[in-house]
Amino acid sequence: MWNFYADTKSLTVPFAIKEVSKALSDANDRGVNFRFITEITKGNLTFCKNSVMKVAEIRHLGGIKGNFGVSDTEYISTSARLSVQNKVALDKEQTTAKEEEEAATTAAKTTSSLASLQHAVYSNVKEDIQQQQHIFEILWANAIPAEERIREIEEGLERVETVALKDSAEIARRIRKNIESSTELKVCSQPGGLELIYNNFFESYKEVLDNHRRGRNKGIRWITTINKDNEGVAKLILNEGVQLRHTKNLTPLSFSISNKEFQATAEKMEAGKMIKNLLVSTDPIYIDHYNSIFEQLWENSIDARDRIHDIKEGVDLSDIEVIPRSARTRVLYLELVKNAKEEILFIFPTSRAFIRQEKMGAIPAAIKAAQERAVKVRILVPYNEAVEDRLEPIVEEEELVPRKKEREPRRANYNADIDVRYIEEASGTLATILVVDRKASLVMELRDDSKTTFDGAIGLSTYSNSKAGVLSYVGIFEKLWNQIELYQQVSDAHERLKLHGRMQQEFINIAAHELRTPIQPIISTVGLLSSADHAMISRDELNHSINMIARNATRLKQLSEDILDVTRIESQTLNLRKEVYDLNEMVQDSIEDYKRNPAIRSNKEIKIESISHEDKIFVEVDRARISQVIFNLLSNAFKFTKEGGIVVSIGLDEKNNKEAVISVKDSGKGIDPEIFPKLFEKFASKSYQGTGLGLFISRSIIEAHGGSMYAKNNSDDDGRRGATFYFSLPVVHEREQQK
Amino acid sequence: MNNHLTDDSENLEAVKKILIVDDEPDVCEILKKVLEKNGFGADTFSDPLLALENFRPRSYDLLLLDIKMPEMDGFRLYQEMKKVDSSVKICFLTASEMYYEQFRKEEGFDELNKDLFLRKPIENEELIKEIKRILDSEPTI
Repeated sequence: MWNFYADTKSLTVPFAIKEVSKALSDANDRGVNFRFITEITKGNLTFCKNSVMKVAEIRHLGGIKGNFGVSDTEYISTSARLSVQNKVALDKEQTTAKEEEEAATTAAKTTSSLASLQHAVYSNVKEDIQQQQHIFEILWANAIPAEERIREIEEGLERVETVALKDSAEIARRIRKNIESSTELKVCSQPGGLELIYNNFFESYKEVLDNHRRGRNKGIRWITTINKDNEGVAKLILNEGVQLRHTKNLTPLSFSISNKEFQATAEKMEAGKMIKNLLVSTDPIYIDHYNSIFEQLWENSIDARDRIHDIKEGVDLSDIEVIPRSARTRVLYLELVKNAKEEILFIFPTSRAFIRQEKMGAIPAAIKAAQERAVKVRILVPYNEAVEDRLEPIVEEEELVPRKKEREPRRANYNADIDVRYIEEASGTLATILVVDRKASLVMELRDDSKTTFDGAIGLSTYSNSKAGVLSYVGIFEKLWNQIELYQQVSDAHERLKLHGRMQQEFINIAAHELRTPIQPIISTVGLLSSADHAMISRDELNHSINMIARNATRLKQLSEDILDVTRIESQTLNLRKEVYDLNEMVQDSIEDYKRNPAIRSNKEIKIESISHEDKIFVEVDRARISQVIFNLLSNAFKFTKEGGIVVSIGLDEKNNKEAVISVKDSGKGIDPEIFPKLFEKFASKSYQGTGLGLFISRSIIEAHGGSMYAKNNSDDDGRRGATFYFSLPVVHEREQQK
Repeated sequence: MNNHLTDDSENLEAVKKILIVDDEPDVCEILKKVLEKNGFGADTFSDPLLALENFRPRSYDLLLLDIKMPEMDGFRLYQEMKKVDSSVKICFLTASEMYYEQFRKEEGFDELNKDLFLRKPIENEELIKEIKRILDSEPTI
């Protein structure tokens, strides 16, 4: 029995040397068994079948170096030096199958003159032989039968293997080999992969692509994430004919699949850095699995040209990202707010959500954006007191009813554009919506509102900068925003109506009281008169009764007229019939009329002093209305003045003589400070004499003339207190009155 | 009148005295006249504070009070006068439903019998009838 162990180079040698070949053949004939362990390749396949297998049992083992033979009695190891021609062919690292086959055939056919043995180790020492036999048996056990290996090769199957390479040169060789031997190549790489391949392997790619153009293979498809950094390389690769697509959602593993091999690495390949680890597998299970992953990614990726165009247009990312971790959401959230350039919109689902995100720093970041970069911030948040407390320093209190200007927006109390509107806390709304610059949206789903921290409360989040998606959220925001404004307006109007209604009701109640009161003396007096014996009624008694009736009837008349006036004023139908009069004269006449009026029970002790202005002053007024005002002021003055006098004076404003000022000064008890703020309101008077409408009507009349009316308590300096009422009227100058 | 048939004390018993407080002097004056014509004795005040100041126990059988008055409304005046004379009877005369309801409900006077409220303006006959009814009734409060 002879056992041989031989690498591909040495395998052919014994058969090439005629003597050895003959000896082998003869020995075989004598019944000597031969066993060969060698590496069966495509190149030596035919040789193995035709020559070796005729005389020996043969098994295949990969990666054999050197050769030895061992029999029961002998051990021999030889080193072969072949002819120069064949040596070159066989030594070549990247021997092609064809060359290998040719070399083997040549070697087998050529005679011993072409080859010579230059060195050999021989031993017949029993221990050496046993040792070598043992080694051989181990190798034999690990080798596979030649028939199996030959079938694999003939069926085109590579030996299934999965190895992890750690040597850079080996990795590079393996990558290159895979590229060059493939008929179809699919690559899915981290962004840096583009540069790595372009710098190191693109010559190999070019060959494949060249062949692809000639229809010899299916070409190269490549998926990666294209960003500003690799956009340039991506363009170069595209131009060479690689079908390149972009996706944000890459697998963490970079891989390439050819028709027969799968290669993968978990390295980042940043800036095209060469990888140090490569997993290589020819296992069809890997290849199939990653093929399907690749095809799925390919379906969901976009054309690299569109992506490169977007980058050029400044659309940084156009995609939707689902973020399952709230910690990552928080970072992105703050990032978005801090980088806002024009506008930030917030919709909060609950007041607690607002408070959490305020604490987490999103609101302070938005305020900073508004203050420092003039970013417009708008917030929709469900109301509660805690929210208001936090917003109070940011946003000015809104005046409820009545607002001076209808659409006056609430402004921040410093120079920042921050608006807040309160929304109802709707049970269905369970996400915070953030929209920045109308370009990006972040929708953060509320998982547990009872939690106190942002990370604890937020579940899944969705980032999007797809235009349609983001603008939809802007639309939702604007609708809610405007809805609240409308609701506010309706509710303001409703409040005003309610207030108006209450005031109307109160007016009616007081007016009813005032109208009924004077009827009592009239009805009772008439009752007494009609039940009495007329002959028994004295002249004095009768006069007294008539005065009583007249006085109260006049009061009723006055009241009914006042109520009508109020109605006219409030419905803005107070018509003035204006003519030009001399003010001095008109005031004098009014005072005289007042004195003569029989309905007025004035204290005869109190004198009216009238101080006219030295010059004629002309005013264009409704004379009856101005007299009504003077009457009112005089009757008020008389009502409160128990001693002293009343002074009516006329003056011109010192500045430009455009206004005449009429004042009525009394020496009564002065105006009650409680009454003062509402002096000119309806039924403000505490006296319960008069209608309580006089000052309201008087001021309205003066204002309808373009003047103003006010009052003040006199200083105590002149001994008496009392009050002075003033009203002004625009003066008509000579030229104007001529026309 | 039957002054000559009765002595002074009996006269005091017979003639029921009524105190009228109303901020309208004309109302005071005419009501006093109406009451006197119908056999009652009547005093009037148009200032509630002055009325309270001059009020003495057992000097009147009935108080006829306006409700809406400056300085002190009819209800407060009634409370103060009750402190002076707990047995005196009471009757409110007001021109306004609003004050009537407001005071009864909001100001905590809802224990007061509704019958004690008369509304202005009231005819003389009606007023006398009501006053007699109240004077004849058992004290309700």
